[in-house]
Amino acid sequence: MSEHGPPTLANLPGYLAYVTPDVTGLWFHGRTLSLDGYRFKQCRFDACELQVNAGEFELDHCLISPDTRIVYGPNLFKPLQLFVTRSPPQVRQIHPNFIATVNADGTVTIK
Amino acid sequence: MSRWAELKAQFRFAPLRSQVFVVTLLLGGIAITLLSFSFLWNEKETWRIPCAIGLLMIGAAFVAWLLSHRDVDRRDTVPTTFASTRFGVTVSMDARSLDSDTSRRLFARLVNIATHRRPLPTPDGIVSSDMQPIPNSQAEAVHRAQAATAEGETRLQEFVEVMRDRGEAKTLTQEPNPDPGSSLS
Repeated sequence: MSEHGPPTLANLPGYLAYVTPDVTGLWFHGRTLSLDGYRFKQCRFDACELQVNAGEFELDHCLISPDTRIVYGPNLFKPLQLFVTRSPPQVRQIHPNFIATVNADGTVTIK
Repeated sequence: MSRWAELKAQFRFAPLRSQVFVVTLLLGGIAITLLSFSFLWNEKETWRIPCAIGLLMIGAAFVAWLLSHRDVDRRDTVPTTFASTRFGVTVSMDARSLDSDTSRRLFARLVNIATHRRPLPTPDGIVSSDMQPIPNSQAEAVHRAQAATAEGETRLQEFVEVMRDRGEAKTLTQEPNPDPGSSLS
């Protein structure tokens, strides 16, 4: 049973936590799974593919192996691109999808 | 052809639903206030009592009208429907219900979860407290994963039922989505 309890009309913010189930202590190896909509606690992911599209998830003390592939949905690029525009140059040595387009006049384009 | 322009207008005064209460309160307040004026005209010392009651009723009618008139004005609205063929999600709601920022944000995030949550895959086992896989624990792990998936669906449906009781969500359905997103690597 979740620690958040059943929904009540006086506890609207608690609804979101309520509809997000806990996934505790599981080990996935070579699996493809979407993180959205779950709260993972003390889980281990080895050689998996983790998909993130909405960002509506939680990871609590989880282990992600280096050979696990992470797939980001297109809607997640924009805030990351915006963040990277304010980051030091060494941070920008990341995947090109996370780099905003810097125009010749110094302006930034994020589409 | 007549030289005079003809103007026809039709006014209809018909209180609707909760407005019946508002109009009754207003008319009662006006009547009692007028009664206090007659008291005053006849130099009765007690004129202040009906006057205060009448003004209170008029004030209460105004407050009740403020609280109710928007929904009455929108009584004939049709449900707003949001459909996404890409994600297979249909949301139909009454525009009167999402009248606060909190409700709108909450509903948007709920739709986001309903759109993107997928059943968990078959796990390979359970991990110990030091994050090491425990041998021969796959059956228990599968049971946990199935329970979590079912719990998510049940609670989402329960949420929709609660919102429906409030007149908010009429339907919220989720169908399989073959498009998991774009890959980076």
